[in-house]
Amino acid sequence: MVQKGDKVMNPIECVDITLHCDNVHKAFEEQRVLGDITLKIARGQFVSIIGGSGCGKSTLLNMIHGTFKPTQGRILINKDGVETEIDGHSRERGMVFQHYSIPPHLTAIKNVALGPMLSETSIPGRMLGRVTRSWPRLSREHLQKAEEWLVRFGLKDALHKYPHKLSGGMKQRVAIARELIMEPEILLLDEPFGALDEEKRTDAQEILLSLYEENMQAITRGEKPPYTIIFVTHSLQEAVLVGDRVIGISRNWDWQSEGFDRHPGASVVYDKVAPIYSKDTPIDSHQIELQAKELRGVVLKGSNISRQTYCTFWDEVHNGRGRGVMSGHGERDE
Amino acid sequence: MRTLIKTFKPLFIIRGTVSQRWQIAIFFLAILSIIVGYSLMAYAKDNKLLPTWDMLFVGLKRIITDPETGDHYLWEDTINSFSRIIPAVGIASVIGIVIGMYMGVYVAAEAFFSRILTFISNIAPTAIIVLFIVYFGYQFKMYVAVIVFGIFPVIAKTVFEAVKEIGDEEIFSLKSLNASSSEIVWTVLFPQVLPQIISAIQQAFAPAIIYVISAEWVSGSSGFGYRLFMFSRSSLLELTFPYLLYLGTVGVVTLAVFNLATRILCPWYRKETK
Ligand SMILES: Nc1ncnc2c1ncn2[C@@H]1O[C@H](COP(=O)(O)OP(=O)(O)OP(=O)(O)O)[C@@H](O)[C@H]1O
Ligand SMILES: [Mg+2]
Repeated sequence: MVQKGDKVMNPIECVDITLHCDNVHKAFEEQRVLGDITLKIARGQFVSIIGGSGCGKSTLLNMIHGTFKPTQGRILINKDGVETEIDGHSRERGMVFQHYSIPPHLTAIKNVALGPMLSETSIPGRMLGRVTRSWPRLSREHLQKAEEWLVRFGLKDALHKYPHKLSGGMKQRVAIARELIMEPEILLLDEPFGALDEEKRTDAQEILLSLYEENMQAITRGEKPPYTIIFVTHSLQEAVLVGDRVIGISRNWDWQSEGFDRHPGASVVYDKVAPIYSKDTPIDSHQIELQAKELRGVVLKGSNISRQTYCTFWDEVHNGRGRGVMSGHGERDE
Repeated sequence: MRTLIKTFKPLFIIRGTVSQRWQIAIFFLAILSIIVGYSLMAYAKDNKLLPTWDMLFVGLKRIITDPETGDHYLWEDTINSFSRIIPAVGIASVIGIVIGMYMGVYVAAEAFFSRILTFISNIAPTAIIVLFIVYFGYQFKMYVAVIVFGIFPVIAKTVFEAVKEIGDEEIFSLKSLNASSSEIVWTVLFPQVLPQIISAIQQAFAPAIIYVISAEWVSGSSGFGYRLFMFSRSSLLELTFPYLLYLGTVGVVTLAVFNLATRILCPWYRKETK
């Protein structure tokens, strides 16, 4: 994989890699969950991750978030051109979880404003700021910014509602806004819409698509795309629809022929460009079904998959597919 | 007969719904059965112990205002005992909250306190009041110490359990919002577990009253315990019973006050059972 990565890196030199997993392994005691994961994720990408249940998707995201350290290998994050190894949690990496969204005692708007408050001020700072009047002013700015995010996400009527008055989908949108207000280098979404019904799910997907749209506009203007997202889902269609790149993780790969003497754990068996949809390009459900079918065959039903066969993402990029997303300039190919 | 069965049937369905009106009716039924039960015992032929209703009524009037001395027992005792209970519950709450909050987030603090708290909470302070008297004398400090010793472990444990309930995901996401440890504990988690804290303090109130009564019984010259001691020494059941009725009412009123506090301080809070 490393060698493969090197090969494909050359043609597109301006690729701005935000996240680099370098031969990452993760075991919990004797249980080897993830093995030999090498991934480069470029700024502005929306990467969907698919995998059977219990294959280690959440573990991978938790490692990137900073909760676990890899047993072997490194995970590097690129901030302003400087690559640093991940060590613990930090505001560069936000995460939204499947079973938890936001604390119950703060209204939607205060929940979103919590991030700026916690990261820009401290307890003594706020106490002093109450006296000098600087904290109320700053707090108003935070709330205003929070309001803008919530309005964007269609939550204008829910600004001052407590979480127990919000639906599951609304709570997850608040949680996403809460992370995005921090302007993270990368946003990790672990099955954020897993518990939603079909209709609410579509609303939530719309939000991600609108963020993607913003990335495209930034690229057209020659600016850095603002959002990089890794998105775990168990819906194959959702993976293809929301992501511009789909990654499949599975335990059923031919580790013997790659020279491992014990099963190293699940690894990346599928990595391909996915079609891009924006507000005005209609969704081509036939194309989505085709790729979903391929994904099901390889990632969920496949056995003894060679890691090379379906990991063609960077080759595709090399051949001009999906380039617009990665290069940070130029227009999209379609 | 059939309609009768139909009317009462809902009351005997497991997890069934019973209308508000029925619930109130059942409450009055409970009161009525106590009154009837007591009357049967008090007016039985061989009863020499239990005071009759008119004796109780006279007793009640007497503990409100004693016609001979002009003392207002209930009022004076309430002031005396509560001036001990309230500061003690306050101190115990502060100690319990601090210990409980940190136990909930630091495994080391949990390891340090967990067993010790269980141990202390199993020592009845009523059993060692003499120790407190030797140490603090017959003073305000002694009453406070007995109550604090008796209730802070329970408050700490309840707070700890409430914080422990909060999932790792929340803590991790707060960390990635650059929250400092004290911000996580005091700015976010504390208001989040405030309903459980209020309920823990409320539940500590009943034992606090028991402990103050015990301490006053042994040592006091004032307060609920002293008064009950005086009554019981002269077997004045017609005074003791109305007095206990009053103490029970105090408990009901404090519960209402705490529930109101929860509603005002934590408007976001909904009990899971409703
Ligand atoms: N903290 C942990 N300690 C020990 N084992 C763990 C831990 N976290 C995860 N595991 C194990 O790692 C494996 C992968 O778990 P993970 O939650 O990453 O899977 P997943 O792909 O997210 O599954 P799902 O589709 O159910 O969300 C599981 O077998 C799980 O038991
Ligand atoms: Mg998972």
